[in-house]
Amino acid sequence: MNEVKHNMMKKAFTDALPIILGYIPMGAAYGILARQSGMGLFTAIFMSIVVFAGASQFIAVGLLSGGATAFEVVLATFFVNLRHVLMSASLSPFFRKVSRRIIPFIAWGVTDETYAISIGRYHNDEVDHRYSLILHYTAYASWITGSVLGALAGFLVPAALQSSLEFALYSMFAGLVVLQISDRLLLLVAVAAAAMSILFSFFMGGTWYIITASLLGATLGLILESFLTTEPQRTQS
Amino acid sequence: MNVETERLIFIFLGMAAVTYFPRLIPLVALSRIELPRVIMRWLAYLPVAILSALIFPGAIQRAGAIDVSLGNPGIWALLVSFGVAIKTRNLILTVVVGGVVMYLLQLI
Repeated sequence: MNEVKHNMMKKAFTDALPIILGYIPMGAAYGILARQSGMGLFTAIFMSIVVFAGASQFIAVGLLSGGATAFEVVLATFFVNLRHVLMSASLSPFFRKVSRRIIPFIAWGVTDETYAISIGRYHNDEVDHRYSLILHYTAYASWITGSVLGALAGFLVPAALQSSLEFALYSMFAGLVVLQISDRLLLLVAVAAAAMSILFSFFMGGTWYIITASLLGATLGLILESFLTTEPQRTQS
Repeated sequence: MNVETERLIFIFLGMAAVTYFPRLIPLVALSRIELPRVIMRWLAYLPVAILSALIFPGAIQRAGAIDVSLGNPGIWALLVSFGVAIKTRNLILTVVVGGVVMYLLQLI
């Protein structure tokens, strides 16, 4: 194994660590909640295997125990997970040379957390699709592991530890956004997107506020860039 | 397999489809075309915007509602996380310190 490849795999595993630490307790919480709602063991685990989307799985359990129809649950899931369109689009320029047969496997694991970690790597490091495959499937495995532990054993981390591990994912986002902000224009985009997301969350359902704030934030960056001629023009890849 | 389990499996497969296709379609479609320069530049601003929108208001919410009171440990843990990240630019340290601060604040 050559050194570049070895380093890349090492990066993938170390980058996956905070995600694993967050996904296992969160998956366990899902597993417990699903079982408490009366779902069978196999059924509860099955959802984690085929859906792999934390927030929407919690929402689905809530909706189902409230007697929602299949259509309502699927529609809510669609809207909650639609934000991944943006993440997938943002990753796409880095997969130009990747085989069409591999891309569907990478796409399976695009979550908030894997996206947040990998986009920085793609921008700043020498990594390729193998990095994404390791990161995504390590995250997937830990999500399923957590779900199984919760559904099977009622594996419960003490409440304070649970919420700290889940919060650590926000710390991860915070660290990643700081690493991405390399000039004042990007700082402005970050602040504007945060402000808009907070504002929109008061009247937009699902995760529309995240989607809208991200779209407008990036657009603001583009518009301001054309005014600030002193800023170097930014390009991906 | 009883009727209820069958219904759930059917629902989960529906959820799987509507979760997977938004992740799949942009990757398949956009990785195969040369995007206009303006779109590439727009995409370069997207990560920061998305990360920001994921943090706010999520990290400062409690039980689904924004809580800006001093008693919300998330606010302090988030501030410390930003501080550590800006000062050290070390991701692992940021995650660990953020998680530990969150934990300690809940104990007191």
